[in-house]
Amino acid sequence: MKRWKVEVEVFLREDLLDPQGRAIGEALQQHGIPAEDTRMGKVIRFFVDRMDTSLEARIREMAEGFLSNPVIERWEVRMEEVESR
Amino acid sequence: MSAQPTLGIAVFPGTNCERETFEAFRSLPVRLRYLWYEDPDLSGVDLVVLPGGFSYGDYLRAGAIARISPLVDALRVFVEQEQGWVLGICNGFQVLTEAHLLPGALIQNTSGRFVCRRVALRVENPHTPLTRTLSAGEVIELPVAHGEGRYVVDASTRRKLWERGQVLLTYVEDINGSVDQIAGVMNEAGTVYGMMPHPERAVDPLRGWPDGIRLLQSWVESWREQHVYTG
Repeated sequence: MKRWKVEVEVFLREDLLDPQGRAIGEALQQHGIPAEDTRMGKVIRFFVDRMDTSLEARIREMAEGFLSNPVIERWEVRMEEVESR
Repeated sequence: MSAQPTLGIAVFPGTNCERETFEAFRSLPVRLRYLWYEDPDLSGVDLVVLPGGFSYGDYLRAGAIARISPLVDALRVFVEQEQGWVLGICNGFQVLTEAHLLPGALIQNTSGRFVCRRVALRVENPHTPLTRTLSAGEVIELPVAHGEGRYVVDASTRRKLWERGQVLLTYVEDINGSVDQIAGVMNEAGTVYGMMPHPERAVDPLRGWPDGIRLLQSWVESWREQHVYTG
């Protein structure tokens, strides 16, 4: 049995200061990693047992209007067919 | 015709300022009731307050999950049909921006820290129901308590906010990185108001701190003057 893994990745827009990303970046630098422009985003992952164009459209709608706030964030969606556990 | 306007105080899971908001309005000529987030019945309600707290634990983004609740769906109709006025305080302001009932968004303070203190605020537009007993440039003091109070807005909306007098209050000092130090705004129609400071925590004359009640009172009185009540 296969099902679909959906991951919606959300990041604060590049022009907005991300205090968490900055703090993480500074910590990485203190530990020998020359990290630049560190940003912290989030991933919302879920599974669906089917995928079709109308469901995909609905997922994109929810990514734009609920999982992210377009005033401050950018999002990307990844969909992949995987084996069910 | 009722004797007094009805003011509803919204309660979501995680709201925690509803009691003090209720108490703050108790001295004013309104009938008070709570509005439960699952119960979208706003019939007979004139004024709605979305109080502070952490609706849905601030999960996803502050105000994001409350925004898709039945109560906020009903609130959208309430605003579109101009049934009454809405005031969002702190988390309530976040809910209103998430719902796009107010422009802009509220994100993590630039310091990354929760800021909890008394702040000085400048009155930018004294010609609104909320601020009309104050004068332009007057400085008042109210408490703030937020981690996500940095008001951001795109450049063209920012310009319009100022041109149309939608900016109500600004912080005298930069406390959270907000664009133009904006602390409170209203929508273009002048029916939806949002502010990060907590007026309901500055209402007790015995403590010599009446600035909050001045705002709330003026808001209620303005509504009453524009509508006929028997009481």
